[in-house]
Amino acid sequence: MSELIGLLLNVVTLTYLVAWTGYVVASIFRRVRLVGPAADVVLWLTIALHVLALVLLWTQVELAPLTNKYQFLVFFAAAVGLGSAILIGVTRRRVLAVFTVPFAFLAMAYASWSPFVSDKIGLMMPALKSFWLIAHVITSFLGYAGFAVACGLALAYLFRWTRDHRPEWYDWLIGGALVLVAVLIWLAFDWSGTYWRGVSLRLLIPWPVAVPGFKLFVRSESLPLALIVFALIPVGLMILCQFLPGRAGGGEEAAGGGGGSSRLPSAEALHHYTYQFMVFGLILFTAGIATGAIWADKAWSRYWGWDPKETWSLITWFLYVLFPHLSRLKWLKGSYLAWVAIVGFFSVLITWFVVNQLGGIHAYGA
Amino acid sequence: MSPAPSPARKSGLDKWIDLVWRSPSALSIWRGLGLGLAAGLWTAVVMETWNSLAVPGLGIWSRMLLILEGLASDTTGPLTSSWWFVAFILACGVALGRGFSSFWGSVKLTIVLMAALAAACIAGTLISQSDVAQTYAKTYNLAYPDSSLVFRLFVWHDIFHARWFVGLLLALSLNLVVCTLKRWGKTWNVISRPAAERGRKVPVKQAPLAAFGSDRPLAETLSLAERFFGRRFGRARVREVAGGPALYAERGRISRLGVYVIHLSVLVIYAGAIIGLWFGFRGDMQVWEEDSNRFYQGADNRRRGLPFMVYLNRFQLVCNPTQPDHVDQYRSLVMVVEPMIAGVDNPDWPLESLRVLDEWGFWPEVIEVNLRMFHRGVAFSQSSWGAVARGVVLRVIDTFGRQRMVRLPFRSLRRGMLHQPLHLRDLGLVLVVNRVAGPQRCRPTAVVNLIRFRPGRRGHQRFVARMRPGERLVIPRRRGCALRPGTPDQMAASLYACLGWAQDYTIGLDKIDVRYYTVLTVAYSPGVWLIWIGSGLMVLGFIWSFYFSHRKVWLVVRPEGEGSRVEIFGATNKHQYGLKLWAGRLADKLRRRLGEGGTAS
Repeated sequence: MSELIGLLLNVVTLTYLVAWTGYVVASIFRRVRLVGPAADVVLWLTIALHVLALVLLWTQVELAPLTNKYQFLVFFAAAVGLGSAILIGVTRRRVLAVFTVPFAFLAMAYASWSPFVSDKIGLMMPALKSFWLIAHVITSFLGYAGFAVACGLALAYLFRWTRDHRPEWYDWLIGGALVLVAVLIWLAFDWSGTYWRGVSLRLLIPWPVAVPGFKLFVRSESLPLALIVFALIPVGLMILCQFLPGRAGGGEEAAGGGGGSSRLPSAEALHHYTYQFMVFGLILFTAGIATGAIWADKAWSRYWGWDPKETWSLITWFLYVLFPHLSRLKWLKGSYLAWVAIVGFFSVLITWFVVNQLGGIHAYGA
Repeated sequence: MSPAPSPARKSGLDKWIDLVWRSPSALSIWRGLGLGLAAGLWTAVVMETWNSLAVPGLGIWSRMLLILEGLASDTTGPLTSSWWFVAFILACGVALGRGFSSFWGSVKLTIVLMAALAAACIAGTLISQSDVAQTYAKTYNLAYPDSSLVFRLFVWHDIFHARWFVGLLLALSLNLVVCTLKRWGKTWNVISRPAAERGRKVPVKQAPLAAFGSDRPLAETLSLAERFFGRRFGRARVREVAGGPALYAERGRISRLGVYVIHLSVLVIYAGAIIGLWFGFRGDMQVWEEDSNRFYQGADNRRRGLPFMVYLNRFQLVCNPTQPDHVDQYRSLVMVVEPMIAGVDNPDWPLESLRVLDEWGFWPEVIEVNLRMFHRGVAFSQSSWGAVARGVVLRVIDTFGRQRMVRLPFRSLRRGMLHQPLHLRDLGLVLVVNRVAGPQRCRPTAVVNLIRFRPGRRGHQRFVARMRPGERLVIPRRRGCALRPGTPDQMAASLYACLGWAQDYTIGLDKIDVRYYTVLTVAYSPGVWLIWIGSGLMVLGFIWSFYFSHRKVWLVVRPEGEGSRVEIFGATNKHQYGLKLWAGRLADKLRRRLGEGGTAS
């Protein structure tokens, strides 16, 4: 059974990539009408398989498949995938999936292919055996997924905003600088011996920018490097954005209006979507902190103990609640919501991965 | 100094602050009080600190630093003593020449305080938080305690309980209160009276959010639109504006309360935390099996007593059947013993405090991970456990097939442990269980030494085996026939071997007898229900405030040729784009209602 689940999740990882590639192709070559709907089908099938794998996993474990890094990543990826599918279903803009599906793919790739993430179902610590585990982890990771989607949309927003407010060479300047950085990182790391089950990862070279970071991400135990990889997502997307349509169409059409599903929505609409997902994330994240506090009170007789994980969740919370306060500053204009979403998601990643290295009572999820 | 706002625009709070803070007579009183307070504080601190400085040859600057440190860093009573920090920020406000409510009610201050708190939290996770200042002295190569002043000034080893951190939290709460009070009047004004009654103008100068034409004449369109609005918003008001009659409706005025709910929830959580800090306690209590304890050790390493005792009947370690080293659960079977039985001769519990509780005076209870016991409001939760080995039980089957059970107790003597030896005379060996490794684990390991003393020679031969319960040590039976002189036992054994009757000599470790102790977390948190209420309110407030907004919509009907033209204007306190979408949907529905005659534009 666990082989079946492993196989399913490996397939899901690849089909996320396939769906994403489909969305990219559909967004760049708008004349090809069939790719977009096909990508939709692939995405929904992927989500169905993913949910099926999660359900099967649930039958294999003691309480819930939410007890180690592997299972967290799988759950997170499912939530991001579902969020992306709902997003493009509601907005009818397939191009948005280009910005959000990579999070699901990278999480699944990290879970399935990294030698440092084990898919073994271990025995549960006594402290984890509580139904608050389900409430706490599900709310927290739905929150994280909301933040991830918001981060992707914020990148789209920044791109759109730049297109609307800056001359064309500006895009190329930024894109060129990012390519340079990516190439330097690529050169900095050794490529030899990077194999996954006998298949050289050089095969991934057609994605010349994502790959070095990807390799790093999959192979590195060092978590700051994994963060660099998440930094590379925007790099890849920025470069991709050079090929996305958007400038010629004029920026003012609304989401439901003309322009086709491959055109980026207006900055205003993107701002709205980012806001919606960020708020969803914030509410669930707050609920996650609250349920965690209830659980901590039951297990350790204290609801808050300045554990590194708790402290970083507070930092993340502060970052996200900064937004409604920033919006009261009249002189602050432009894209600060996007920056809050991006910086906030970095904080989420630190809360999720890096903090485990600092020890504390949450370190078992490392 | 910022220019003073005109009196008409001053909020009520500012007026009051002016009265008690800025009027000349009040000012002189405050100054006198402040000077006196500051001088008194300073003297007290100097006296206290100076006297406690027994370090000879300390220069004036070091002393000053130490005094400053005493102000900043002392972690005892963080709540009562961190007001000085709030006072400091207050003084900053005064120094900046800002009015009380304009400084404390500013969002900029909120952002600065939040950023400062986040930075402090980051520092608190990067610098390991422990109360051993010596560790820091060592890590940062400082001679403790004189040179670590800079370090101790900001209490880097205990940031979250430092006065300045608690001061920041208090400042944030004060900021929040003032901010909320300052904006409350305006918000209530909006909530309690519809915009139309306040004479708000139709924003016709802006581009309409949605517009369409209709074939119906103006009056008909207006009456249909009025019915449409009435069904949707309860009641529509018709007003004349330039260009034609306008309908006005609004929705979600009450959503403006959401932000107050959030801020209230923060204060409720604060209140719960403060109640917990003032009236609650927390610590660890160690209880041995078949023993009782009433003392717990708090975070400050002080021992404090409870007015009742906890007796540990038994400690149970539940190990996993498939992976025997994995602990599935651990629990303490305890009884609470009230003073009636336990402490009659204890002066802490005078006789008149004794009460008859029930027949026995105690309650058997189970405490396990994630399952607390409550007694008189004090929560006991399972923290950890430990054990010592009391002895081992061996099953020895000798050459002759005789089986015996041997209990080898470890006895604690003043000079150390006594390990009782077992003489295996027929083998000429002495067995000693030297120690038990990991007695608290699921499968502890006994270190068994088999020692052969050789007569006539110095020294001895030793064989060391690490055995777990259930494991056997087999000494194979002797082959062949070689009658040797020796002790009667040895001679009998060699005879048995000659006759081929000898059996393997088996030493089995039946059981390791351990005595457990349990570590219980003792906590009394009276304010915790406020935390839960606050958390619930916060989630509610987020939903309330983020997913709903105050939308005002004006529908202006103008004549256009034969028919009429409908334009929808709107305003909102947030989500401009959401308003746009909403107005679009509203226009679609109205157009459908007005019939097929409508033409979109």
